[in-house]
Amino acid sequence: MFVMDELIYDFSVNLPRVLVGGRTGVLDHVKKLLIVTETNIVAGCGSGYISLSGANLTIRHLSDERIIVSGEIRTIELYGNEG
Amino acid sequence: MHYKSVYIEGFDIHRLLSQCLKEGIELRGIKILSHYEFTADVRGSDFPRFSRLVGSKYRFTITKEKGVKPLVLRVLSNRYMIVGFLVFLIIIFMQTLFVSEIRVYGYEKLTEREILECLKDAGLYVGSSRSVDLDRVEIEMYRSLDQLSWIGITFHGGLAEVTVAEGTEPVVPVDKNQPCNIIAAKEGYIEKTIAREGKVAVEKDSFVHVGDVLISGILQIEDKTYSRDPDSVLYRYVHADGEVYARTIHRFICYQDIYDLEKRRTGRSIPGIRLTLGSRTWNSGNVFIPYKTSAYEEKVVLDLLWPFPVEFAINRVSELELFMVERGQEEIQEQANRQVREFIKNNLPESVQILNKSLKFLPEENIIKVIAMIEALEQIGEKRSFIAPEIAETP
Repeated sequence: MFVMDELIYDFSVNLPRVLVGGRTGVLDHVKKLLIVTETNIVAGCGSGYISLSGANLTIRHLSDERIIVSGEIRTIELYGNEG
Repeated sequence: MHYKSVYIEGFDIHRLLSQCLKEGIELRGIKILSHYEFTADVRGSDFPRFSRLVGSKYRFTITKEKGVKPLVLRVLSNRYMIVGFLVFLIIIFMQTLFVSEIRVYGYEKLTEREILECLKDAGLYVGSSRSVDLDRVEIEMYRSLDQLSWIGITFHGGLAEVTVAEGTEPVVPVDKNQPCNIIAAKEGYIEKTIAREGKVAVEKDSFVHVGDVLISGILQIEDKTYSRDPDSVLYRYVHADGEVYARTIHRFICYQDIYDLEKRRTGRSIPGIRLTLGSRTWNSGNVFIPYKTSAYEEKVVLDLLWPFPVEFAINRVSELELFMVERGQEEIQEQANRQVREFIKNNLPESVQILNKSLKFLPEENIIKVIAMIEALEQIGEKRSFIAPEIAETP
């Protein structure tokens, strides 16, 4: 099952993926942006949504279904993917 | 990279951002100012697509353009700047075509002024063209200065470096058809005489003064025939030739200090800088010196001659403590030997053989008097021509 999980992880292009470290967060497979404010960024990834909450959030880079967010990230929430 | 900074106003700005994501348009530094406005940097190559996306739903303003391409276009659009820059380049280039400074090295008996004047006559002077024929200049210098044995000229930009080497004064030879004697140029005890022509007039170990005849050019003819008057003496006059070696004594006196000044650093120091522009110098080490005795050390960091002379150096003034220390006998002896060697180098010819040297130390109040006696073996003969009496008497 580990191999399956890895395959799903590597080849899923519709699942939300987020990598956060310090004051930087990288969101992959982003198809659209629903909310973009200084305190909250919500991105749609096809079959789910990612919400980042915090303070002084800015999008440093946006291209190729990837956005790089910088700022104080306090909460990461994933929606729409039951199971 | 070429980027345009844009300011976007409109409703549902997140929709525009989503469209950019979908179209693959790269945006950087997105700052959401409010629900209706944001700023971002768009790549120059993506800008046409971005402006089509924006369309009439949003209002956008280009606030800035970054990158090499807009910079070059901005520069090229300013014609006066281009013309001014070209004029500047032409002036700099023209300046390199001329000699801006001449430095002379290696002169001893000749003065720098003499050399510069001769160079000017030969065609090389400050302001002359760099394309001057250096070989012709060197030949002219050899012709005008007899003491010159070698000259070299090199260019470093507008700086001409002239290096000279002076030779010894040439000895005027006596005409070989002219009768002459060999006389003593110095006084000494005769050691060896080699007479190739003429008659030896001195014996070994005899003392000769300056001017004494060593090898005579006047030879008495012993006439064995009976046809001449036996009381008349006949002479033959020859061009004397040969070498006469004699032991000469040289004496010189020098003085040395009994005490030596020793300097020790206390560890306290002040760093500073020196800046020289042309002939003006400003040195922080001269402005404030809180120490009674100090040592100054400097390291040159920047030294430019062209396009303008500037020199920048960092320095350090270190406090010193002075102590008077009595010098040891070995040190005094070593210095005396150095002084003797210096004397021999400056006053005696190179071919001289040193036979003996002695030093006598006479301590006085605060100094030591050193008397040095040097015995050398050297060639003392020199030719001096004379006019034969018969020729002198002939009207």
